[in-house]
Amino acid sequence: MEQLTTSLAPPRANPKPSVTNSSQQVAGSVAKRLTNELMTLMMSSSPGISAFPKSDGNLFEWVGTIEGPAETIYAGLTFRISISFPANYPYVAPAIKYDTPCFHPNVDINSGAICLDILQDKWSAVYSVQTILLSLQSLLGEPNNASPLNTDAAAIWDTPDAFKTQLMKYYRPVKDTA
Amino acid sequence: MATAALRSQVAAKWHEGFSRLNRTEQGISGLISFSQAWNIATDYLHPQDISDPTTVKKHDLTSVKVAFDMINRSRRLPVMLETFLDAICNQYHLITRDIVQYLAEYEQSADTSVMLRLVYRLVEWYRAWAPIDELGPTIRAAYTLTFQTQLFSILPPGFVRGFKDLCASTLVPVAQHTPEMWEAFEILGLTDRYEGIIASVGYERIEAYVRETCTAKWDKPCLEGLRGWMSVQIVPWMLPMYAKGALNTEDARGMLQNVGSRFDFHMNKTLCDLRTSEIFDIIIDFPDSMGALQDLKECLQRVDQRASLVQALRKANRKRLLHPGADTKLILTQYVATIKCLRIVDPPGVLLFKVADPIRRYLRERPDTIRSIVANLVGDDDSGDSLVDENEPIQPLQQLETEDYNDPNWDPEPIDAGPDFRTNKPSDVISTLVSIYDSKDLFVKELQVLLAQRLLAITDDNSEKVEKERRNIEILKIRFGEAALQVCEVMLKDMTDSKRIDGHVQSQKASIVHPTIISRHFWPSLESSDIVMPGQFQALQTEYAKEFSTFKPDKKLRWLPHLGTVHLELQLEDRTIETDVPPLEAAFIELFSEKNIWTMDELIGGVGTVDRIAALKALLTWVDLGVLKEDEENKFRLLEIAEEASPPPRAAPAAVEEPTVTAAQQQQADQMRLYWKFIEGMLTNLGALPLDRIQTMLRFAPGYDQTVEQLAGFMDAARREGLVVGRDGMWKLNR
Amino acid sequence: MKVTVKHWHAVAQWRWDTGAAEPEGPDAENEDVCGICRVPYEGCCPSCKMPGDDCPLIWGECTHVFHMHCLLKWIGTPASKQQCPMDRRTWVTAERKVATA
Repeated sequence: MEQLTTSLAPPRANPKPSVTNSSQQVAGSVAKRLTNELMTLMMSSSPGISAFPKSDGNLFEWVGTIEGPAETIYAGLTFRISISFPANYPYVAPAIKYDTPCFHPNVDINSGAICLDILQDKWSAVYSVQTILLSLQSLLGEPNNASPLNTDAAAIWDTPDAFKTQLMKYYRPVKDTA
Repeated sequence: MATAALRSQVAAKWHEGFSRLNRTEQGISGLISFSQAWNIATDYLHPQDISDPTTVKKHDLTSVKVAFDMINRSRRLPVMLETFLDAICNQYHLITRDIVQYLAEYEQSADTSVMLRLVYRLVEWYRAWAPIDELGPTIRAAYTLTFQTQLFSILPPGFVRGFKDLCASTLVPVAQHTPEMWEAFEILGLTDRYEGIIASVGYERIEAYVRETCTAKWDKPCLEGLRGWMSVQIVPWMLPMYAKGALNTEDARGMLQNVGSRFDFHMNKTLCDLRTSEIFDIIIDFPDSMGALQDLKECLQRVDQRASLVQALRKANRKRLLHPGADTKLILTQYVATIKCLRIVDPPGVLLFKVADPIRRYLRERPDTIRSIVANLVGDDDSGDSLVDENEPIQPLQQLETEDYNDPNWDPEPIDAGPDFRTNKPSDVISTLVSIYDSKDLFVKELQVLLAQRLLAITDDNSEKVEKERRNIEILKIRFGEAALQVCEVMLKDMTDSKRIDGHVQSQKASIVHPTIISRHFWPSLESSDIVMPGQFQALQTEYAKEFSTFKPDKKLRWLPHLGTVHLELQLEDRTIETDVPPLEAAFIELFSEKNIWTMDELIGGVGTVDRIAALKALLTWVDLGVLKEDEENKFRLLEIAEEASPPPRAAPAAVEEPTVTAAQQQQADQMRLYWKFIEGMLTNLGALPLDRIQTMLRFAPGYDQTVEQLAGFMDAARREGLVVGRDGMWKLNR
Repeated sequence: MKVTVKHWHAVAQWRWDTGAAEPEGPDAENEDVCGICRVPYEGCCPSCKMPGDDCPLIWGECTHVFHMHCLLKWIGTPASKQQCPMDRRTWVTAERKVATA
């Protein structure tokens, strides 16, 4: 018996996704996957991206935070986004929009809607919140000017000074009170 | 220098006095007869020394009456009374002398009959000195008052002691009591004067009797018997004092009502105090102490001793239970008994709530509490006595409910319920125990660990044991819910699958290997081991794994070589040894079949990697069995021929005992790191949050089980680290 | 000395034979999860309760592996365009190779 006892490690020592979490089992399989993703995201510590459910009662609505990548015109700016997961996630992509006004060729300045292929026809069930956030972060520095949602922004992308002026005209810093 | 006016005034006064005394008699004959009457009266009244018969004078009562009459007519009675009372005072030394004498005798003999004689003697004095009835009640009353005042002023403290003893002597046995004695007390005013003392005699008797007959007798209720005793023993004793002059029993009952209720109260209080002082042991004795608990319940309704009961039990628990020396199992057992006992005493649960709180806090701090509870749940308890009653229905865990004011059975909280009192709806013991923790997840984890231990310990082909575990899990599912125990289902299925697979493999190619094949992720993580089984063991493994993959082409086996048991036969030159050993032991002895002498380092190298302490322990197993001998330190030799009287075995190294299956609770530090990631995540995205919001959001973190108080402490620590800022109850990241 | 093993109660884990080289150590395989449901291969997909034969894996010719139930559900959605979610090549289920010694 002793060898057993010395070799059985605690189940909770293992921070990687595990099937043995009872709180997950209570929720449906989508909630289970979302809990899983949240766990992965929290443990991954990718710089400049983060997301968390809005309230404890609803795992399907998240708030995300993206910091503009260094060396880009968005450096030093922080953007809030909202992420809304469908009931059949991950087979269908989540709906995402900017809450912080974002002057960007692929973002609608009024609605915050985003034009990004992986959120539309290129969606795959293996994508995750983390891949989405990383894609959005890199989209900030590398817009797709071929299919702009904001033509004004696309037009002045190559004149950084003018672009920065417009960007800062719309930008509202993120407040700490939710 | 008297003036004429003054002189005539004095003359008038004198004349008036004279005519009052002389009345209308001739000359001064009235005055003379008055003087005679005065002399007769005062002589008659003069307090005599009844101890000295020579001084006792006989009086002609007729002439005495005439004399009093004359004095009365001369309106000189008040003056005479004054003279009389003065005389009483002056003569009281006679009585004092007697009292001193009697008390001295009593001091020496401690015989209460001396006291009784003293009382009668005092009555004698009183009677001897009393004025005749014809003088009317006023004079009689004045006399009695003076006599008693004098008496009480001279009675020494020793008298009170003796008096109390005397009263007490009439209680045991009561038959000795004498109405005369009480009458004497009454005459002397002792009843009123010493009412408190007489009552205390009764109280003390009750106390003594309760202690005598009820101490440590808990199986049957005592109150009823005590009441019976009171009505037979105490009430008759009280009658002459408290129901004097009662015409009939009805009358007496009315008179006794007040005092009787005082005595009954005192009896309740005494029993209540006794049971309070015994409460810890009463709880230990439960359910054999049912009677005591019922008494206590009844007493508490009569006497307001709830607070002191709580205090006494908390103190006893602190002293006798909640200390490092007490076994967790014992604490749990006592806690469960406390729950059951206090539910009897106080169904609303206020007392229990107050008493349980420190126990629950203490249990929460103990590392093996969950394990103990779970072990008991699955009947893994050597002692055999279960925390749970066999006949308590198995039911789902109950959550603490919020108040439902629409419930027709809703009752307001009892008056002494504290602000944090949570209505303790009658819930089963297991729910109460599980609710020590905020989350049942910890229990489920521990349950898995325990189940894993037990399943892996099933070495032989024993499906009965597996079935027993299955039944256990079925029962636990009712408590913890199906979903929570899904993992256990998989473990049990692995057991039956293993048997089926082994059956197939054996039918293809017989092997002495009979593995339990487990599903990763569904068993508590197994510590890895780098042992490589040498020689024939490896061959056995490889062969079996090959057969397995033939049977299940898309699967392969990964051995956990440190787990399991090997049954070995060692054939030595002079003997054969058969034994069951863990795999590491088997691996070492296999090496010795190659050559007879190995150093520790060689041995460790021969089985892959293993830490020295574990290796030494395995080798000592063989040394103990007389198979190996440690010739010099860390050098072992196979004993082909047994050696007599092997040297005392090397003591197994200390600290070999790794923590057993590391208890779930020990992971707190790792968990807190994980929680911090979640807190950081929510504060990044949701901005500043209040503590209770953080607490509820943390339920997204797997296995989160901290109380809001613990979280507050954690946030404070994070603030000191400069990670967060807390202001106005809102926490935000320090950026 | 002759050592005879009479009976050996051993313990082993089963693994899917994904064909991938076995990384060392039981905890070194963080990537061993189904890309769709994020549950380890040896766990079970969200719609199953029992792992193993009840919740098998499916191999694509592109070498990507998923829980069978997860992949079939993905292929069933219009968004999938019948493609492997990993590489967006048209999904073709591989003939399951028979393990060789």
